[in-house]
Amino acid sequence: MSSISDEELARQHLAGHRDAFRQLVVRYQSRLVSFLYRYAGDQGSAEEIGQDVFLKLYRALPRLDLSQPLRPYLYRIAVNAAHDWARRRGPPAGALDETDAGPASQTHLDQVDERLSLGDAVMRLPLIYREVVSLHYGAGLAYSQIAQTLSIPEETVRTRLRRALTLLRDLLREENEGGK
Amino acid sequence: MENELRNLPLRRVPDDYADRVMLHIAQAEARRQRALYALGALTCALMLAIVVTLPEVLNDLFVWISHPLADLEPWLTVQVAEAMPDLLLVAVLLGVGLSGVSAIFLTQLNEQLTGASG
Repeated sequence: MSSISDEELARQHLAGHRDAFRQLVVRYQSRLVSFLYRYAGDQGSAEEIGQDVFLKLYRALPRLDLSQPLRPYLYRIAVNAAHDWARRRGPPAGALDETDAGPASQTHLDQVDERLSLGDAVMRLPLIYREVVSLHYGAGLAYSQIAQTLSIPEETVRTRLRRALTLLRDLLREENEGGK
Repeated sequence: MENELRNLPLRRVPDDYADRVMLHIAQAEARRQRALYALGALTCALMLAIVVTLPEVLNDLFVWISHPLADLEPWLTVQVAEAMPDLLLVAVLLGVGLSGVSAIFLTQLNEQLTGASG
C-alpha cells in the first residue's frame, strides 16, 4: 500500500476510487495530529483541527496540480488551519504566541519523567522555531518547501532552524542540569 | 540531535480516527450541497421574478415619468414616448443578460457539486 505515492492516491480518488482518500488519511493521520499537537497543545484539539485539514484537502484536490508533491500542500493547509484555530480560540491559550513557550510546555513538563525529553523541549520553543522544527524534522519538508508553506524566505528558514537547534541544546542542558 | 528530532515518536490517534474523518467530510459535503442547492433555487427564483416583472415595472416608470412631464412640457412626453421602444429593448436585453448570468451560475454550481463528490 505504501508503495503508491500520495499523488497517485489523489488521482485514484479523483477517478472515483472510493477508498483512495481514506488511505491518504490513514497514511498521514498520526503525523498530522503530531504536527498539530505542537500548535494546539492537546490531543483533542489536534484531532479536531486534523479533521478540518483533511476536509480542506478533500475539497482542494480537484484543483491541485498533482505533478507537484502533495505533502507540502497538506502541511500548508495544516499550518493555516492551526493559525485559524488559534485566532478563533483567542489569546488566553497563548499557543501561537511567538515569544512564549506555549501552553503545552507546562503540562508536558509535569510528566513523571523528571528529565526534559527532546519532545518536551520542542514544545517549549517559541512558535516560530517550533514550527520550522516540526515542518523540517517531523514532516520532512525541504527548506524551500517550508519557505513556501510559511511564506518566508528560505534563508529565514535556515536561520530559524539553526537558532531552534541552539535553543533546544540550551534548554535540554539547563533543565537536565538543574533537575539533578 | 537532528536524528533524534527526525525520530521523535508520533502521537497515537484513536483506531477509528480515519472513519471519523471520512464521516466528518461526508457530513460537511452534504451540508454544502444542501446550501448550494438552496442558493441556486433562490437565485433562479430571483432571476425569474426580475425577468417577469421588469417590463411592467418599466411601463409603470414610463407612466410615472410622463404624467408630470405632460403638465410641464408636452414635447418632453413625446420624446419619452419615442424612446419607449429603446427602453423595452433594454429591458429585454437585461432579461436575457440576467438569464445568462443565472445559467452560468447554475453551470458552475453543477460543476462544483460534481467536482466535490468526485
